This record gives sequence, C-alpha cells and structure tokens, in this order.
Amino acid sequence: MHVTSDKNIDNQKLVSLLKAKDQKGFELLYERYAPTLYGVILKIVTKEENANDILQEVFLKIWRNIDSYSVQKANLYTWMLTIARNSAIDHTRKKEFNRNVDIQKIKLGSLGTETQRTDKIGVKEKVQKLDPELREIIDIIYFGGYTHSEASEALSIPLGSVKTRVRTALRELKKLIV
Amino acid sequence: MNVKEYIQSGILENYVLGSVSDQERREVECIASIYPEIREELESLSVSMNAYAEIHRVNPPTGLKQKILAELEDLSDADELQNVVEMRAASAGVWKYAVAASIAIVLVLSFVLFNTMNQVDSLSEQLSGALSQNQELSSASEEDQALIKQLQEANKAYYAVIKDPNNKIVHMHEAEGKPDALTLVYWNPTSKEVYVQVDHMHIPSDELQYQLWAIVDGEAIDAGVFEVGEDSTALQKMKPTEKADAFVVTLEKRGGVPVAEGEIYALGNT
Repeated sequence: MHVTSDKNIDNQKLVSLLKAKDQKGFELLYERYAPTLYGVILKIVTKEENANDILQEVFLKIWRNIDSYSVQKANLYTWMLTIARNSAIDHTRKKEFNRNVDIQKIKLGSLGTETQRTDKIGVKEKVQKLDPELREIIDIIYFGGYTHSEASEALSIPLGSVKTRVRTALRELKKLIV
Repeated sequence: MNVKEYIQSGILENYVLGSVSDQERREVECIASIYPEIREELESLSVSMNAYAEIHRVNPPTGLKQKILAELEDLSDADELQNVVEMRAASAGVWKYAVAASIAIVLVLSFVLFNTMNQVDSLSEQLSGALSQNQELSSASEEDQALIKQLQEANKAYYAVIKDPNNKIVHMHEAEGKPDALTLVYWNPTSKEVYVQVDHMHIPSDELQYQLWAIVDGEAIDAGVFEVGEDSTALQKMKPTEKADAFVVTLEKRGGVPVAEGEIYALGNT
C-alpha cells in the first residue's frame, strides 16, 4: 500500500471517515487512489475528457454508496476499482463503442506511462514475466469489458479455453505478486 | 458447501476481473465472509488484480481534484437538508406497510366471515329440520369461531411484527442457481427477535431443513431452522440475534447443524 500523506491512516480508519462523509477522508481517498482509478478508466475509454467526467462520476458513486460498503465484504481498493471499471465500460457501451476494432488497442497492454514510483517498478517487472497470452485475456476482459463468449469469439478459442485461461492468468499473476 | 470446489470453480477470478453479475458479486462477498479459506483466496486474488491495475496508473489532470472535492461538498450540504425531510417522511413510511397489512387482514377475515355466513345461511334453511342438523350447525359455527379466533391471533402477531418500527426488513434474494428461494427476514436489533416469512421456496426432502444464519464480522451464527410448506407463509420465530451484517439461508440436515455445511439458498444484507 502506498500512501502519499497521512501515512498513519489505515484503510479501516479511512472507511470510517468516508462513511461519516468527511471531506478530509475524500481528499485522502483521492490522493491515494485517483491515479489508479484514472489509469483504469483512461485505458477503457481512451479519451482524456471522458475519463475526467467518469472519474468525477466514480467519486460521486463512492460517496453515495459508501454506506453499503463493509470491510468484511470486500477489499476497499477492489470495490472502488469495480465502480471505476463498470462506469467506464457503461460509458463505452452507451457510445456503441466498436469493440472488435478496439481489441487491437487493448491487446498486449501497453503498460501505463507513470512508473516513476520505485515501489511500482517492481510490480511492473513482475507482470512483464506473465505470458502475453495470459495478459491478453486479463486485458480484454478487465479493460475491454468482454464477456467470456465475446472473448471466445474475438480470440477464436473455445469458451472452455477462455475459462481455463482466465483461471491460469489470475493464478500466475497471484504467484508473481503475492 | 465444498470450499475447494468453490475456489476452483473460477468464480473468484471472475469476481476480481469484474465479469460477474451484481447478484454473483453479492454472493461471492457473502460466501467469502463465511468461509475463511475462500476469503483468503479472494483477498490474494484482489491484491494481485489491484497491483495489476496499479501499474496502469496515470495522474489525473491538475484541477480535477478540486473540482471533484467541491462537488462532494455541495452534495454534503444538499444531503443535510435531505435528512431533515427524510426524517419527517420516515414515520409515514411505516404506515404503508401497516395499511397493506390491514388490507390483507381485512381480506382474509372477510373471506372467513363470508364462508361462515354462507354456511350459516344454508344451515338456517334447515333449521326447521331435524335436531341432529341443529347440532351440526352449532358445532360448525364453533369450529369457524375457533378458526376466526386463530386467524385473528395470527394476524395480530403478524401485524405487531410488521408495524414495529424497530424491525428491520431484510429482503433475502435467491443465491445463484437457486431460482425458487424468496424469503423475508424481520429483525429487531433492540429486542433481538428474528422472524422468517417464506414467500416461496423449493420444498426439500424430509430429512433436510432450511437453516438461517446471522453473519457477524464474517462469522456465521446459527439463527435456527424453519419450515417450508403450504402453511409456512406465517411468521416463524427464529433464535434471538443481537448483531447481523447479513442473513444467509442454507439447506442442512433436519434439526440444523452447528457449522454451515450445506449450499446457500438465499442471502440478504441488513
């Protein structure tokens, strides 16, 4: 966990600040998580102006739904990333985004440009060891919003192979990171 | 519930990749809160996927932070106003249920009364007949009276539970792949009373029974077993429960088990 300020505020405390709709809590949340949420949104919608609007929408959704969030239920980071990802994908669906064309953009993830942070370089190097085929399946589902059957069609592999590949990809990623 | 099989099913991977429905997502979170092994696996998959997302990080344009925080502040002000309005409306809200319940009670009672009157009418016609028939009439009306009384008692109890503003109504939704499992849980955190009302659920074989669990800090606490059948739409009183983040229904062997083993049929957050 990287922290840009108030290092001693852990996620549990952060969640109680958020639930109290405390402005400082949201500021801290923004500092900690906005770059990743923004990076994921940008990867999905590609246009910066759209990404700005969606990031704003995501923070509003976090603000509105924080009451129903519980640390026992889900990882905070995962919870927010799900909101960011779904909002961005909804946006692309609304615009009848031609996903068959855009697969090229998503394929073999061009990794983000902001990698100055030393603690992230390690992770990036580790991820680069992941088999390109496995990274591709993660990217088209996570960033491309493909369903398993859409992925099966786009990659011309059977549905069963998509499922196996997803499991293998996450298992390998876990081995590299955790 | 076979924990290993569940972990290997691929649902946790789909969860962290975001390719699950809302219902599946709630289910994964609920199941993970019950089984530590599943929670641990979900957590390490989440951490991996979060790290993967993090390598794509990009700093948002300057100025966006102030814009977003300012909007949240506006919302916060608007919310305070809303709270005042809602507090006034909340007490009115309870009456919606109360009115619905009274209508239901009136309908049931009128049906019973109608039947009774019909019976009385038809029997009255025979009053001039034999004494045995007269006896039949008195015993029939006694039976009906008992039935009315029983229904009145049940409705009074039902009415007391649903109109109690301290009761939380938990709408249980069916677990994935269990389409026929609709239940309401009434929970009063102050008196700790819990009632289950089955709307419709699949009737299990005789050796099995549904069991309710209160989920507290990721632990499943037994809240008792309940019946499902033709007469089970009435409220069924469960074990007292002080705390619950969620309620879960599993199918277990008759009489219930101390630790959940069976599959989850329905779940709902408090």
